[in-house]
Amino acid sequence: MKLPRFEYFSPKSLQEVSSLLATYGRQARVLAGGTDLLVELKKKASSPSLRLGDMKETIPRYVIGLKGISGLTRIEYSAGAGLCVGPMTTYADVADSSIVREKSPLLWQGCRIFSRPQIRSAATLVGNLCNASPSADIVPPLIALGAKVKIVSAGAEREVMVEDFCGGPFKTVLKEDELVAELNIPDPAEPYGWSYQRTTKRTAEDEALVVVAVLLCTGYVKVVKAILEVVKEGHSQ
Amino acid sequence: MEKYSVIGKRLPLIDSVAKVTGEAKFTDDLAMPGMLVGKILRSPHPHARIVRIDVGKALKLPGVRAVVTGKETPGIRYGALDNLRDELPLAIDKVRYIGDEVAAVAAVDEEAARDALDLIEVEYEILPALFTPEEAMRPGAPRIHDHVENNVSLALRVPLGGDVEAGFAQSDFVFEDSFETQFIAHCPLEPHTALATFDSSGKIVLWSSTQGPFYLRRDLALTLDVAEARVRVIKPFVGGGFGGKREMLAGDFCAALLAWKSRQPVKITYDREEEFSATRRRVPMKIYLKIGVMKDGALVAKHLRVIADGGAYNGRGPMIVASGASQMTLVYRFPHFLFEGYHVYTNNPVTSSMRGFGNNQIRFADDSVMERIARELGIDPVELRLKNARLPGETTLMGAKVATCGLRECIQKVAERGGFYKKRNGRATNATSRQGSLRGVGIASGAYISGAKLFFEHDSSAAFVKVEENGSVCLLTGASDIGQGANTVLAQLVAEELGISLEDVRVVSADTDVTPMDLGAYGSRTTFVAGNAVLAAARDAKEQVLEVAAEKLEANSADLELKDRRIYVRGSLRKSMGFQEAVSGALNSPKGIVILGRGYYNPPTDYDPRTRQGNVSGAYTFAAQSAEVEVNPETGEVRVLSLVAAQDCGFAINPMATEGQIEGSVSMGLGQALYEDLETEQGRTLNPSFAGYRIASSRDMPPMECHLTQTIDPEGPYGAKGVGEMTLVPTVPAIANAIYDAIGVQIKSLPITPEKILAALKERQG
Repeated sequence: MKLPRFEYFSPKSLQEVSSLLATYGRQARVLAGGTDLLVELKKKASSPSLRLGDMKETIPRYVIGLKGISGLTRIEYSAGAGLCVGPMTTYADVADSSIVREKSPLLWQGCRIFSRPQIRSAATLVGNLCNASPSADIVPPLIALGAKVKIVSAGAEREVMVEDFCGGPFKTVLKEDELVAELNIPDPAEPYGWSYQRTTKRTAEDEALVVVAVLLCTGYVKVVKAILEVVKEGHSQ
Repeated sequence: MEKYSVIGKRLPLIDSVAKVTGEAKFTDDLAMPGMLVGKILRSPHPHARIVRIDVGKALKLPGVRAVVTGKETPGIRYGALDNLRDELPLAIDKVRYIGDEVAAVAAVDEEAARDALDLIEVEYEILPALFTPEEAMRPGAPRIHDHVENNVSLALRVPLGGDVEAGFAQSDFVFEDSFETQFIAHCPLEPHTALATFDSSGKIVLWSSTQGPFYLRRDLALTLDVAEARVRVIKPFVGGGFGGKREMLAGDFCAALLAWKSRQPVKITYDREEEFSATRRRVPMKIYLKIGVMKDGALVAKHLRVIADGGAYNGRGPMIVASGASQMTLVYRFPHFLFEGYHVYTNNPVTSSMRGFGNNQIRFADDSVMERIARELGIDPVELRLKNARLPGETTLMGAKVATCGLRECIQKVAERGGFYKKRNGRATNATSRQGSLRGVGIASGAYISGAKLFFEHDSSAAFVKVEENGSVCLLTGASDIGQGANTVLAQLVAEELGISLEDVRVVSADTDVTPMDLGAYGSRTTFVAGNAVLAAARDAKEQVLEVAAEKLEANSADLELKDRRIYVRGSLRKSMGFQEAVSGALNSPKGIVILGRGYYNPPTDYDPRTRQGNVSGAYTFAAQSAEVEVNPETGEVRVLSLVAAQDCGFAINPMATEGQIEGSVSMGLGQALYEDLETEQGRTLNPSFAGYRIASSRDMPPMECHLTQTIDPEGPYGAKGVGEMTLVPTVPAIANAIYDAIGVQIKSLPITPEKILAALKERQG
């Protein structure tokens, strides 16, 4: 399979990305790690008669790569604010981070066992979140942890809970000209316990069938379960 | 002293270095000056009439050199047998499945070819489509092929060995059950590829990833309506076939047609999506099975009814239905049999040959019912199988003459090595392993042919052994090495017979203008049939060598023997000469003798296709496998902990290659038992990629043991029988039976997914 034809932009700032998005809207897609987007583009460009449905219409004509913007792979921690993860931070970055391991073991575990090394070193947490693929294993831990995303556009900025960010498979609350500039994971109230469980059809590198993340704080339990086909969330007090 | 010098040895395949270094050239590695890239336009509809095709825009696209549609073809249908020919390599009037070939394009690069496909305008009149055999068989259902009523392309009713109803009446117990198997993809790592050229005389040369160039030559000449003599087919290195490269596909035909039209070489390589959705797949079967049994476990009668989803065209499907049933009579003995089989057209992709040729499906059902019989009658499952197992020297209900049979030894071996008795007893005390998971063991058997006269009046293969002045030998065989190691095994036979080393033998194979004929790599026939042919040619060469040596050594040629590249006079250590010396001496003499061995082999069988009775194959092979599994009752996940395989291979010419066949089979069987399923909705394949279609990975492979039972078949080359397919046949039922043992419920449809296990456990709990 090969990629369809598209125009590639390599902006130098997030503001530039926002203005490109504002100009091209749905015809443009943002490229972070590419593990979802490149596969999707190849699929859409493949044998016209064999592909599912008529996807030709939806092949984006513009791809905006984030690689040229510095400072997007950050992992920062400050007491009170919690962890801040940049839009180009990969699963491998998080899995290799001693600060995440110490401050957010639930997130660390989720990133550590996700997929396989090749994918972990390319795929980004934010990119995965924005694609809202049911195979984005990191969503349940983020919801359990009460994570928020910072969304920017040409003229504005807003914050949304991850819980409210994904509206179903491949659906998010992002508007045409918006992108996620940061992911924030607050510190859970001490003392707390956690668990992360993942089941696949075959072996670890497969897409998950079910992912369960549990965060247990004093007098409070949050269980988030994601099932491949339908993302379901459950809470219990 | 060891009996043999080259055969019976664990030798690396002669092409292994070329493959590991990447030096081996597969069809897609080949390039020609001026070569174009071909692409095929496929039907997006499961069933439609083609009203109009306009290729005008596509032809105008820069870089496009030729476009062909069915209208420009001779419109000749092809298929396995004359009465099964129902398929056009390019559709003319009608398309019958999503992926059916409508047009093809040749362009200077892939991009232009793909873009050109989008510019071809096809107007379709959509027809009602049928996706299950049941709806297709319904009276009044639309016809997929005009000449076939109710879409049943084959209906068989074969009563054998007396009266099945009387058999059930005299049985102490009667068991009845239904099973279902799935669509499975062959998944060769090398996709289907064809490269075609025309020379100035109008001759076609086609390089193709095929399992049989002579078969392909026949179908290509037929459908192009040219003389066979004007077609040459060459098989380069092939990266796996598993039955999926047995038949000509549209890629072969379109490459040749586009090359003719453009007067340039054209290569067509299927992409993985096409591989999964538009090539052949395993025939899914709905299997009804009724078995009558005495209380001591002796089998009395079986009634088997199979409804097969044939997809849009026959392929080899009808013969697969018949083959699975007939080979059911090989494994266990029973006196009464009624077989009913239906091969039904649907608007699904075409189902056809795949490793096991119908046996895998039937054995899943048969050995599953055997397991229920054992469980419900309180008979040990190993004892039940031993009691009924085929014995050497017997003739089956179908008329198969079983000269050698190691089934009992195989069953005993896997039961013992699989720790069957110990584990069964452990389970009886309700011992569970870690984290409350459930463990179980299962066993299953199988039997298979070593080639058969099913497609032609003969089942021949031929070979030349060209002995060079320098003492080396060139073997020319029509047989197809598709990765299974045929070239190595055949070279070993030649080296052994001539008393030379394996490195003295070069193999040129599978080229219709260079090598003698062979029908191809199918039916587990290569080692047995081509092996016998090669042996005949080697013996012919040997006689000639001995004759010239006899004169030099002043001995009787009957007293000479060949060993270690020398010719000895038996009983006289001092009188000997080198092999090369003899050959060279014969040439460098006034007589100028050149040693050329020739031979062919056609199995001495007497099968009658009309009655479906008689001895169908020259030898029969048997196997048993046992599996131990662990099931997680919370998630339904299955882990195969160990697998033991025992194979009656007659004689292992290369035990390492034989074990390789078994190991590969187990990985395939594991996938087919637990993971693999081409999900197909309204005729569309939903998971046409390795991400969506899950084969077993290296991490899923259980620790396994292979045991070779050598029964030395009198008809086989040095006693060898075929193993290529047999090795896969018992894997699925062995795993299924182990799961049954673990969870106490039988899952009767494949694959056995965690969802099905959880649902079954839930239902049992009520």
